[in-house]
Amino acid sequence: MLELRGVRLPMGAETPLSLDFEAGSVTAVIGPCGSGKSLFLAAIARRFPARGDIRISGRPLSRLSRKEYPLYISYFDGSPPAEAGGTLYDFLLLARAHMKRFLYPYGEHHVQAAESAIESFDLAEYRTRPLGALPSDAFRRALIAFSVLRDSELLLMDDPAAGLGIHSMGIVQRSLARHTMGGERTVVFASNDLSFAAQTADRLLVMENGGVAADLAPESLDADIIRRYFKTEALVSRNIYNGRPEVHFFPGV
Amino acid sequence: MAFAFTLAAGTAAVCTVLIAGRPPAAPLWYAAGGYACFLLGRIDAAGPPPAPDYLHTGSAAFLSLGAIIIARFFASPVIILCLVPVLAVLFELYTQRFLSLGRRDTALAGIALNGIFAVLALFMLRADPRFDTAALSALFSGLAGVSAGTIGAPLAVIPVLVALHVLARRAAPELALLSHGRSYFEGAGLDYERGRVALQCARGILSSITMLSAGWLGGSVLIGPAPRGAKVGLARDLSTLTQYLCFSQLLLFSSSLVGSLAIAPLWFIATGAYFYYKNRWRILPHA
Repeated sequence: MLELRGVRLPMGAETPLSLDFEAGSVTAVIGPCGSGKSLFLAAIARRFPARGDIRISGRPLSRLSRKEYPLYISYFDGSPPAEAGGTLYDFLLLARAHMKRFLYPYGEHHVQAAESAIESFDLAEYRTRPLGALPSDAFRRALIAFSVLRDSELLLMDDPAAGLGIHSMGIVQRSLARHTMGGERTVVFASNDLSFAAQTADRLLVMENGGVAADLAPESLDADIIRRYFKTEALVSRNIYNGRPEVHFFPGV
Repeated sequence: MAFAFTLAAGTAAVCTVLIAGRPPAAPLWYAAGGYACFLLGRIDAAGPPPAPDYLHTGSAAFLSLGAIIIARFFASPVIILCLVPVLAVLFELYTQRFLSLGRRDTALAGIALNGIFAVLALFMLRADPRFDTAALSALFSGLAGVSAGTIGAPLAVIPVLVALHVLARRAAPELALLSHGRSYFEGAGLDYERGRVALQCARGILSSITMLSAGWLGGSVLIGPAPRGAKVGLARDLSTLTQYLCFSQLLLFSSSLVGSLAIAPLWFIATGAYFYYKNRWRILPHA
């Protein structure tokens, strides 16, 4: 679904990136600060012209027209809207603007999709509140819901777990799983929360100096890998329900 | 409520014609000016507050100075009518695009521009015999003040404004996305630079229509801004519009009795004081 061939990030990486991402997969990009996680997503999101070949569903990224872009890529970078005066419902409906014709009203299915997103992300009580009046956790969920509601083939998310409480993290995890359930949508997200990444993703990419240092299954994440790439000591336990890694840090060490 | 305002607007318009002796074109021009000012607030409503109107951004002062300068070189009013919209668009592009003034800086710059205009106007009143109180009065009250032309001209402008209103309502989602910023607008597959330029041109056109139609008496900040957000019900939209129309007709009637030279500055000061009072925490957050 997403193919990278010979992509070089502007970080002086020694080896270019060549990766494949299957449709319906959820991939987490992890790595220490400054390893190039955000830059990697920004390159795929076409935020800057990256060297190399990036293809989405066989189409070169550089050939996507402005109108086609939102159908293929939805990029969540955590930036809030400059103006947060409208209601939450109005804001979420805007995520479907690229699917309607200019000057035409939203179709019933767009309205239903927005309603469904409000329910999925547990935002019903904030439906008619101005966006700027939402609590920070709900506001963050609303921004994530917006990017998911775009319903693009590829969803790129830069640190979606940042600023979320436990309840919201669970909601986001379930939403991402639902989003890719049909096998047509792909999610690639960067995360500094290793537990969230291990619990949510089907695949982990460890980045280092603009390149991929390791390509793992989430179950392979252990203390040695964390020590090698993150230069820190951690205890990695297994979740008793799904067996996936959970990372614990030693306080004061 | 909308019916009451419509009735009041109609009554004021009839009084202007029958009692004040103005030609029928005058209330029509003021209706066009009020409508254009409403639309200016309408497209601003998707953006962040404060949203100063064309008086308090300094656009009216700039266009007045421009009209005075053009009139010095060209005697034809048609040339003034053609060049004022160009000046208005250039003003918007310069302040919003080139200088990239935020809302707060726009409001503060408006104070400076209006101050400059006030000083220049006083100077010209004293120094230039061609620029007398009648000329200043005409500047303040626009085409309605000079009651130029037949009713055909304002009747041709109003359908254009209606079309722009429909366009603004239909394009409400796109306007809202534009106000959210580049990543949101481009994320929807739209060209952010073109969208901004189109919005600034629209603001310029509407400012010039307001200025030409109703001079300095189109501002209706006392009513308050148009309802904020992308989704505004038609009933609420029309209710706000009737308020604008009512105020514009009342201003025309009162200026017909007392003179626009008295009404315009009073209206300007009143709307400015109200605007800055309502937005003082945003404009001067440390005050």
